[in-house]
Amino acid sequence: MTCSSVDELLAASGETARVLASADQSAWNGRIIESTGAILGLAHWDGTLYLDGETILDPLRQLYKHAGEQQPTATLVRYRESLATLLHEHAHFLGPSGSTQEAAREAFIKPGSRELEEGVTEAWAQDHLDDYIHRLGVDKVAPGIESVQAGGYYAAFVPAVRKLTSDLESRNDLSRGEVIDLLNRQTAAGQFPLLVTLVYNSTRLPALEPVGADTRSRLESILRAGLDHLDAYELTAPGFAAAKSISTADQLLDHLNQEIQSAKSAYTFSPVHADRTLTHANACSLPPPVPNRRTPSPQEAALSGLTPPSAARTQSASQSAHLHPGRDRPAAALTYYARERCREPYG
Amino acid sequence: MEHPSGTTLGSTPDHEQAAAATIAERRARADWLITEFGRLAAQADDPRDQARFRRTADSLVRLAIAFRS
Repeated sequence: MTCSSVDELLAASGETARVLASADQSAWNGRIIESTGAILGLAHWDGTLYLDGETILDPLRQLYKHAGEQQPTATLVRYRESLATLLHEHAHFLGPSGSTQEAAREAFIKPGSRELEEGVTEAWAQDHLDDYIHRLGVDKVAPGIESVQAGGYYAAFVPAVRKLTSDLESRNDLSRGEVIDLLNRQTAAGQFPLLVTLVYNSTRLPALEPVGADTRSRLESILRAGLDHLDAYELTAPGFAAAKSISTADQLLDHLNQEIQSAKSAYTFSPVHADRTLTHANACSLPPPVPNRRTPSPQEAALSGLTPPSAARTQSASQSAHLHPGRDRPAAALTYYARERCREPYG
Repeated sequence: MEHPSGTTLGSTPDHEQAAAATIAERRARADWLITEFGRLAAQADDPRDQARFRRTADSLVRLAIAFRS
């Protein structure tokens, strides 16, 4: 597809983003409001897209006014920044079939949701911008636009999201970038449940724990507390924010591993935990039987209850159940923070 | 004072009051940060810094709208 005007480009921008993301639906209502105030780009909860006239739309108008012409790098960077914002905002509108903006909005105000969604949306938009530009035919209208780089935003969120999702891909034997793609297809209402499922199903806990165990809710609290903490770095310089984002993700992963090991120890006999195991056995009579069923693939184990990715995998579940061994770094600060936040109701 | 639903105002359980207070704090913080990022964007000489502050403010505006809806 090659659009011949900015109006055509904008009209095609939403569906192109949806197809690129393989998302079921977009909440975009087709309306774009050219803003003149402080807003650069905003995916409003009513489905309207707000874009700044001077910074976002004017460069796109220039792009088509000078279609096919060679442009200096600075101009190409401005075009690219505008398209990056357009793709980022459209990604906010994406969701699975049946998802609603009302549910997304309610989920977005919970701790950690904004940080996760912005990190996912920005990381995904950065990773797919060249493809978006190509699908819209902008590379033909603005020769050289794919060879210039525009830096990303949300330095406090993106590195942590990349670190966290990369770890989950390793745990679940998923390909690089797959977890960001999966999260990007969810609204805020589905992102945390998916994240928790990916963590929980990468362990042996689904087979060990009785139905109704509260491990999943504890994992969610840890994830929310860690991600919520990231907004402390929004006001700091990008380099510092990125470094803190990564160290926060490291602490978050340590805390998750501690929680998983703690939960597992309640169901696994060990001399060190003999007292605890016996206490559990007395309280619950017997641990739940392991279901006699076909061994799920790593994909099935990781994504049970969710739409499975298309690639088939044949490795055994035990290969996907590997946990990263606890690291030596103390996670006391985040642990304390998470405990404090865990006391807060998230409803 | 009794509410039309039959419940007595002021008798909200502690956890509900704490939740409401937390939401109020988070909402107030978002509002403050929007103002702060707007100020920083207005003062920034580097267009890239301006864009960075405005993009962050956009995210907080989205949150603030969600709180108000």
